[in-house]
Amino acid sequence: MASLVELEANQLCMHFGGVRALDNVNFTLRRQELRCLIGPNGAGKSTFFKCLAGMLNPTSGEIRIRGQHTNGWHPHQIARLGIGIKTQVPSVMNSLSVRENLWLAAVRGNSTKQADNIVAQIMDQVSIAELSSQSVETLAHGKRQLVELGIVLAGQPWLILLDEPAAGLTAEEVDRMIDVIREINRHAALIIVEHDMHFVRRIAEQVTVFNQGQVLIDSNVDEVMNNQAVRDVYLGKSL
Amino acid sequence: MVRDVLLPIIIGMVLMLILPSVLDSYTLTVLTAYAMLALSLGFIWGYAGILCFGQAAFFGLGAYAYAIAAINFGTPWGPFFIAIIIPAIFAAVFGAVLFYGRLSDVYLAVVTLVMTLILFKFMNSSAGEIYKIGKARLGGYNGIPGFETLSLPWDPSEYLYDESLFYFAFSLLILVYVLLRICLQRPMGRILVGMRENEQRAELMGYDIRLLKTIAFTIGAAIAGLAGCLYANWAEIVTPSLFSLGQSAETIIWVIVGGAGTLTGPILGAAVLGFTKFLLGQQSVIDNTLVLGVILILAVLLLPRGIFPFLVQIWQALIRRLPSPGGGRGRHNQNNRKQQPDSYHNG
Ligand SMILES: Nc1ncnc2c1ncn2[C@@H]1O[C@H](COP(=O)(O)OP(=O)(O)O)[C@@H](O)[C@H]1O
Ligand SMILES: [Mg+2]
Repeated sequence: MASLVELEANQLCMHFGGVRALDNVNFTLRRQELRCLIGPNGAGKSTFFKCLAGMLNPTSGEIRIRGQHTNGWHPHQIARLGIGIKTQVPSVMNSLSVRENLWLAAVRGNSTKQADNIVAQIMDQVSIAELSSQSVETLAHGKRQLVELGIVLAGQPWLILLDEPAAGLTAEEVDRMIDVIREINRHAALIIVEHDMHFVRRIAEQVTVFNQGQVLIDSNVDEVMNNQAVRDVYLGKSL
Repeated sequence: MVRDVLLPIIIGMVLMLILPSVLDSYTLTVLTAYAMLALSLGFIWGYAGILCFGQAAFFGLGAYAYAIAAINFGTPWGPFFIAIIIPAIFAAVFGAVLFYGRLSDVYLAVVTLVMTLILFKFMNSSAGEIYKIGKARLGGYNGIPGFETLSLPWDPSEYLYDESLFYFAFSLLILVYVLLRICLQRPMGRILVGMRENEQRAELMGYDIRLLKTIAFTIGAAIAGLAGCLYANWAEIVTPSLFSLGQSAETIIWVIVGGAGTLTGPILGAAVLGFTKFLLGQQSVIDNTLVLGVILILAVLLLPRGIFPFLVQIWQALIRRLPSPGGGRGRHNQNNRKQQPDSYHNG
């Protein structure tokens, strides 16, 4: 069962005019896998996420999620399949309280009472309980990242896409984030885009490297870090 | 529950009993119809984030639907419900086309505005003999007079007019207000507010915002249609001016001045500005629209959130100043501060 493929992208292309943000990407993710996605700025990582989540409609190629072709689906339909995404630019409901943000995610498909319970549990898990009644717009960037993670978890997804979740976090918050990610991974699959190699080393087993819209290499973390092509792409950066 | 249902009912009933001794019920009734119209826009714009420049279209449709149905049926209560249902159906179809077509906010404003213009033009040019619906002639510029107005269901000879029409209209206003408050406490209403705050996130949570917007738009149109029905019963004639751009613009101004993002604000805005307009109408020294324009500008500059949120602020400041026994003051303070975002949305 553990090797069951739950997400598949075949020959996926996303073109913006002349820009090939995704160029024949092939990608598979197995049940409960934790995958890191790395690559230089502009490599197409966020675009890939947006195609998976239905926020962009791919130019060509196909996406299969648990056997369903999701090309052309709306974001809410894909969300209902059980997929949650934390976007690179935090997408939260600004003037509402932290609690309300999570509750709105939790109440879909659940009773209000169930939603209350889910919210309480997740605020604990992500350590934002003390922010409960604050409105999200008053929070620092790091806290907003945690709130957005909370929103995603409140939807109880089985596949979670995190686009640069550690950006703007303090060292302490990063530790918390890593704990949470490990905990989530006991029930759900994750794809995580991250720049910070240190962070990647701490959580990843399998790593996929994107470069110029293509998959450069797809392997375990040690192999990827020692790969010459990857080093060239990240020229000047220590891995 | 107490704050959302009982309190508005009690305050509303007290107002309903006091107001007729302050103002004549003829004026009060039309202000109530305006307040209902403002409430409808206040709901879809302030809570669902749909800025409709053509709310008067549904107001006019409600009024015309009532008049036409009343002439054909000769009884008032069937037409009363038709006046709510016709605008709602119209909005459901029209809204579905707009929202499922993913029209952006600006286009939505323009399209709804054009819709009002078309209805206005059409009604104005419907003077000929061929423009008939059943027994009712649309009458063009002159509109439709002489239809059966509301009467007691158990005694059709007892018409609702003057004071009794006011009590009826105002009771409906209280009822609709309370229903909306309840809706906003329930998941559906809270999701609408979430959608207003961030459409993308609402979608990523799994909500079909096209459907949600269509529903909200339809509810708004039904309420506007009810307002139009009340107006028709008050005026005892319907004319194309109900569809006018001026009426739509005024409704938006009522909501802004009263306080967008609240339910009480639009009602207050409609009452205050509607009454001002009524007073101005009795003189011819200064131009009516000019004064309304000045009020709008002053309100936007001085009370950017509107009259009602301003009053709430004053009220909260007063409460904070009141010494409360047993050192409970500090706690009270904190509660007030914490609840502010909520009270803003739920007013
Ligand atoms: N909406 C868009 N319109 C045009 N070009 C875009 C759009 N989104 C992304 N791109 C381009 O696609 C490429 C990949 O961007 P992105 O997926 O954001 O990269 P990454 O997340 O890996 O940094 C970049 O060249 C970017 O400029
Ligand atoms: Mg990116």
